[in-house]
Amino acid sequence: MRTAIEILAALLLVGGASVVALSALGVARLPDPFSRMHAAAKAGVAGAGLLLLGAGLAFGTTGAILTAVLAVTFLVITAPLASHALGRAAYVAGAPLGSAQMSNALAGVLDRRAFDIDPAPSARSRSTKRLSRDDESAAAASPASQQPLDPAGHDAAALDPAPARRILCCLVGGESQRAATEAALDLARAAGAQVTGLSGAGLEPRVWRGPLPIGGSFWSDWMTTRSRARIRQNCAEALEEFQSLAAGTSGLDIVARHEEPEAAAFAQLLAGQDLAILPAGAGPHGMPAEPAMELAASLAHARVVPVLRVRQWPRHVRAVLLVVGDSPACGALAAGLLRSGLWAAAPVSILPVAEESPGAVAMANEQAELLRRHGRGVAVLPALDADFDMAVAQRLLARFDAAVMARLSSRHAGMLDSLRICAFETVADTVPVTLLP
Amino acid sequence: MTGLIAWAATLAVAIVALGLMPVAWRLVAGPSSADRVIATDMLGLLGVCIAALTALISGHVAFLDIALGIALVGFLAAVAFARLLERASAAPAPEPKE
Repeated sequence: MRTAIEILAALLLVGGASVVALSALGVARLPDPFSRMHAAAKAGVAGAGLLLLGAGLAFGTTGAILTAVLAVTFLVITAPLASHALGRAAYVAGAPLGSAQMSNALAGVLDRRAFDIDPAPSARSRSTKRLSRDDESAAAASPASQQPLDPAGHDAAALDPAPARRILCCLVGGESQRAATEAALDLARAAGAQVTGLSGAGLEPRVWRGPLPIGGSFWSDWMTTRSRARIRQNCAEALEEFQSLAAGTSGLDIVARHEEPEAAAFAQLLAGQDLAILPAGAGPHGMPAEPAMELAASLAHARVVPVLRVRQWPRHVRAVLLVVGDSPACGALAAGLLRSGLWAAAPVSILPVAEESPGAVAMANEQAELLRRHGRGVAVLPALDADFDMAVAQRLLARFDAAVMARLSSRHAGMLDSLRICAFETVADTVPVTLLP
Repeated sequence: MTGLIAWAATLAVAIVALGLMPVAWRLVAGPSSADRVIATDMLGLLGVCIAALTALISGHVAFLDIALGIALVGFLAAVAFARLLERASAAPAPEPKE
C-alpha cells in the first residue's frame, strides 16, 4: 500500500512538472498574448495542481495533504478570475489580437487603445519589413477610414459622393464569383477606377510545426494542407475567369495578384481600397457559408473598407433598400450610401427592423430626413416585427435590387437562436446586391 | 522519504527549472506589457511548483505553506497588474470641478 502511494506520488510529481514545463513553452511560443494567457492559465494550473497533490501524497501526513489540497483549490478558484481580469486589461490596452482580428466580437463593446502602452521595437520593425510600398500608403490611409461616421450627417462635406478610385475584387470562388467579378469590372468602367483582383483571401501563411510526424499537430497540418489545396484550386479558377473577363475590356487599370497574407497584413492591404467586392456565400475557407460566417460579414465587421456583397449583378438598379436595425452602426447607413456614390438615381426605401428596441424607427426617420436633404426620393416602410412572415417579406423584398445594411446577420451564437428567423439574413438571401458601408 | 520520491522530486525540479527559461525569455522580450504580466503570472505558478518540490527535497513540510502563500500573492499580483494596465490605458480622467 505504501509503495503504491509512493509510485502514484512520483508519477504525479513528474507528470505535473512536465505539464508545467509544456505550459511554460506555450507562454513563450504561442503567437499572441491571448493564446499565451490560455497556456499559462489552464495548463499551468493543471500542472501545478498535479505537482502539489504529488508533494502532499509524498509526505503522507494529514497536514501536508490538507495544505496541498487547499493550495490546489485556491489555484483552481483564482486562475479563471485572474486570467479574465488580465485578458480584459490586455484587450483594453490594445494588445495585438492575432488571428482573432477578423472576428473581434468585442469591437464597439469595450474601448480599445490603438497601441499598447509598451510597443516593443522588435514588433514594429518586423511589421514594417513585411509591408511593401503600396501597403505603407494603405496604412497611412487607414486611420481616416476607421474614424466613426457622423451619424446625423451634420458634416456636409463628408457626405459628398466620392466615387471609388481603387476597387478590390476578392477572388475566392463559389457560385456568385462570376457576378462579383462582373460587378467589379462594371463599377470600374463607370468610375474609371483601378481594379485589383486579389485571390488567396482567407489563406493563412503556412506555419512550421516541427520535424516529427507525431501527435495532433501533424494531422491538423495534413488537413490544412488538403483544404489549402482546395482553396488554391478555387482561387485559380476565379483568377482565370477574372482575367478572361478583364481581357474583353480595354482602357482599364487592372491588377491581378495572389497573396496569402496574415490577418493583420490583409487588413492593411484592404485599408488602401475604397470598396471591396465579395461574392455572396463565400466562407473563410473557400466553402459555402451561412451569412453570419461569411468573409463579407467579417470584413464588414472589421470596418476597414465598405464591402459590396454580390449574389447577382443587376445591370440596372431600380430601387434601393436601407435596412435599419437598432445597433449604432445603422445610424450611419444613409451617410455611407451617399458617400459611396452608388445608385445615385434610384429611389430609396427605408425598412426599420424593430427586433428588440423601438429606436430603429426613430433612426430610420432621421436618415430619411438626411436623404431628402440630399435630393433623393425616400419612402419609409412599416417596421418589420421580430416574428414576420417569411413569404410576405420576400415578396416585399423582391422589388429591390440593392440593399444597404450594417451587418449580414443579427444572430448570436446559441442553440435556440438558430431557430429564430433573422430579418438581416432574409434580406441578404433575397436582395441581389448588399452594401455594407 | 524513500529513494523513489527523492529521485522523482529531483527530476521534477529539473523539468520545472527547464520551464523557467522560456518564461523568463517571454518576460524580457515582451513585446506588449500584457505579455510581461502573463509571464510574471506564470513565474508565480512555477514558484509554487518549486516551493512544493523544495518541501520534498529538504523534508520540511513548512515549504508547502510557502507554496500556498505564493499562490495567494500571485493572484493578487495578477489582479493588481490587470487594474494597472486597464487604468493606464483608459483616457485620462477629467479634472474635478470646484
